[in-house]
Amino acid sequence: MTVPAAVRHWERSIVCRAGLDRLVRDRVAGVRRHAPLGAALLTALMLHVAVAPHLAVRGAAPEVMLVAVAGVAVSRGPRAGAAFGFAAGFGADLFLATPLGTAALGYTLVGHALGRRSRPSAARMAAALCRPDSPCFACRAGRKHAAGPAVEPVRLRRRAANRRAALRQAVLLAGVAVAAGRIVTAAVAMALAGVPFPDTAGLRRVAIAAIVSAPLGPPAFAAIRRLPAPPSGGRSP
Amino acid sequence: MKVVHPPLLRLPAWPGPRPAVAVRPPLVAVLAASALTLVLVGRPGGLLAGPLGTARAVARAPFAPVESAGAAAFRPLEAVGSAWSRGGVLAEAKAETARAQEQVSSQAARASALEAENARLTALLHLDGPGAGDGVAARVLSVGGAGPAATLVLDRGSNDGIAAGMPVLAAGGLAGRVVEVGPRQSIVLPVTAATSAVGVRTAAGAAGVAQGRGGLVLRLDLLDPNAPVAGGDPAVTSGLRHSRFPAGLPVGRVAGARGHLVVEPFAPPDRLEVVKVLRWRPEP
Repeated sequence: MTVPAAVRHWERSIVCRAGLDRLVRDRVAGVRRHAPLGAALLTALMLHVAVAPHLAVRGAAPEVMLVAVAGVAVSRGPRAGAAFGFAAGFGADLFLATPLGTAALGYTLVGHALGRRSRPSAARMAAALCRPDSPCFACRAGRKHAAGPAVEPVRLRRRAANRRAALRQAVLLAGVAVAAGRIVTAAVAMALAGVPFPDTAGLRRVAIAAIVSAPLGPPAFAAIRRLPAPPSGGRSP
Repeated sequence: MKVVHPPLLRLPAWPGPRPAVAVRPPLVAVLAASALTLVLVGRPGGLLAGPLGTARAVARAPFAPVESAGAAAFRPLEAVGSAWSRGGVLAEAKAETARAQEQVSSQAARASALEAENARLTALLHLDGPGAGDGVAARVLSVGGAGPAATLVLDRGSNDGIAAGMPVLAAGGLAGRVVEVGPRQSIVLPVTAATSAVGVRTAAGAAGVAQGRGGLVLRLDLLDPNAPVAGGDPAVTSGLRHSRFPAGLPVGRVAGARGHLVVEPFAPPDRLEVVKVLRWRPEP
């Protein structure tokens, strides 16, 4: 069969007429758009399975999946945070005894909440964009704002301060994400499957897991921020 | 002559039907609802508990090589760590050993006498050890991390005659029970998992429930709070009617003070390699 004949044959086929080819093309485009996050998910899952159990401190292993969820939520917003949280929770569910979907529900909620929380506020955005030649509304009204206008001499100093602040924030967010994810998942398991809620020893383990996972925050957040962003034009997650 | 009345109320022209706007629920609601549905149909006794369990066992199998690679990579480090912690107590242990050796040699003689007597009595009563039944030997592929709800994966499944509910024994004693079965893998809920509870009886006759807490020990709740119990007592499965385990399987050693009694399992789930799945099904 020659190539044009094959094309004609394809165009006459029921698949093409029903518009299924467009569907397939859209799916492929969607898969390509989300491929970087998928790779991040798989990497996190492998670390979760192969490395994390060996770094456990007093029975509390670092929660790689939750740190990754926090990283995606912080860098891409609540929509991507929820979607990645669902997928990551599903991956974590494979290794748990609770019903399939417990961690998926917990991680979805945590990803969404962290994504909403870390969306830049309008005032901060205005402060970041404020320049002496085009002051923001707060400056025009004679008020001071938190960040202060970024003028040339302080910019270098500010950059180091910003880096420190970002580091602190990454550590804090990773810890908060792990603690919140573990507690929300335990609450879901208790409400839906009758699994007893962790007692004081269990909560202590949650706290240790949060502390152990917090140092993973900065490298994980940096790696996720460097992933290629989805091309503009489509619905960005 | 015809009178034309002006209309009382001049209505604007109807703009036509409103253009359809696709209303999509927020993604987080869709995902949360699907996860919720999944939990509800997949929980024990749910509509799809069996198929979802099989799917989990099958989906987890590809990660077993990754996990064993990680374990192999960390083994030298862990050996160094344990050697470090052991070095300090080595001298102390040496003296301890010398003392213990004398005790052991005297006790060994007593034990062999008791063993011979026990064998005679067992033969007399036609009793077998509770763990001596028909079973399937299986290798532990994966210990699933250190979380409170971690599960084990075995390399044998329904093709080898394993079914959900069968007890799993390790060299020391009871390790858990099979909860989900795939064709070539099965998932074991260890006795230490937070969703696991075992009815136990101590050597002194105190009955209770050993509840997993996700840690390395089980909490022991005695049925009779005043029952005699001492630290160091071995606890075996009680095997009452409709129990999930046959009677007499060793579970662990009682420790802790009254009110905070725990059972230290003979077969901690984090260092199991080979186990035996008993072909025993609980009474329905």
